[in-house]
Amino acid sequence: MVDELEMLKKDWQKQEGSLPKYTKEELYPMLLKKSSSVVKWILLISIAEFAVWILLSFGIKYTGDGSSNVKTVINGSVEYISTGIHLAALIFFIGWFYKNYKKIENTDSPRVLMQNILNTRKTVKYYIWFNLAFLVLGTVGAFVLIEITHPEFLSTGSLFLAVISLIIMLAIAIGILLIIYRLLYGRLLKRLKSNYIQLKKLEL
Amino acid sequence: MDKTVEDNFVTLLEENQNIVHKICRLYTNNRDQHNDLFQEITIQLWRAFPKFRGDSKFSTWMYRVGLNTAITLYRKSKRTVQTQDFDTVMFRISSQEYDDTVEQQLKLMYSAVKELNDIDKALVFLYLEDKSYSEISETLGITEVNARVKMNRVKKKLKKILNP
Repeated sequence: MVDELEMLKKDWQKQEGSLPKYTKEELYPMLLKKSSSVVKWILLISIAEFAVWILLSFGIKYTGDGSSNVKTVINGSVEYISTGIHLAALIFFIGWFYKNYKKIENTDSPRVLMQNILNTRKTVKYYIWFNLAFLVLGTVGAFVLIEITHPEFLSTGSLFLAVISLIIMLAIAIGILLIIYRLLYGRLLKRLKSNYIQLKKLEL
Repeated sequence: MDKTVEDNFVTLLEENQNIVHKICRLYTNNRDQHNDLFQEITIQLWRAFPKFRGDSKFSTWMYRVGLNTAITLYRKSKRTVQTQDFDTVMFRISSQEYDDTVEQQLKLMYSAVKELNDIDKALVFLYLEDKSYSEISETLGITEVNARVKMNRVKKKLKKILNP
């Protein structure tokens, strides 16, 4: 095998003549073209994700009719605290995301580069998980609070039915989100992840 | 960006473009993909150029950015169709210098290399480029010992592909 590889090496080095050759005039316009790298896509999708969650978290809160009923039932200060936590988390996550994004350097070793890309991606993932946890805790919290203070607000007479429908609704919401994520990132990160695993194996 | 910097970069790229073409040949299967990857590597090199301090050779620096792009950053464009047409044509180099058996062996070797995963390909690529194990380890960010061990494993893997 060594001999065959040496033979291959010799042949490989003879290919110079058969390689394409770009002139300077052809190379200049290439500098102006836009990148279509994984990092660019992750950045674009992440910005969209932040935007969607900002709209969902704050938009609905102030414009939707659904929340106003809850607001009248639950003390207004609970609303302010939850908005405060959301805003603080948003600022924290965007700052963290930006910091991780800036760390991505194409001159790093492949392992560091992959790790930084995956970390940047993870930041947004954590933000989504935070939102989901917040949504679940908030919904359950509001439900319990209403049940204790104003049980007449729950349209259904049975507590068991109300709890079951709440769980189903949350499960559907989380399920849809997970499917979207699998479709969105599955293809985008599949190759990167498998290469990262390969590289990590090298260090064992 | 300063025009002189741009001129300087394009001159260096023009002189060293073979490195990028060879990476493209190993990581793509047709001319469209080859051109796409070349374009993406050029963008990544240009983007990283302000940080190139000249403490390593431009070519060494190109190997890292080029391989990083091929392994990590590049997304195959959808308009290109996966075919093997390109590599069977492209590796027919100086075939008249070899007898049929040697040419046949080489063809088998090249298609075996193409079957390797992205990381193993990078290792073989640097080996074929006659890089020392210390250069290979530096470019890939792994230890020299691991580079040697891994290269031995890849050799075994190639042997297995050739003699199933």
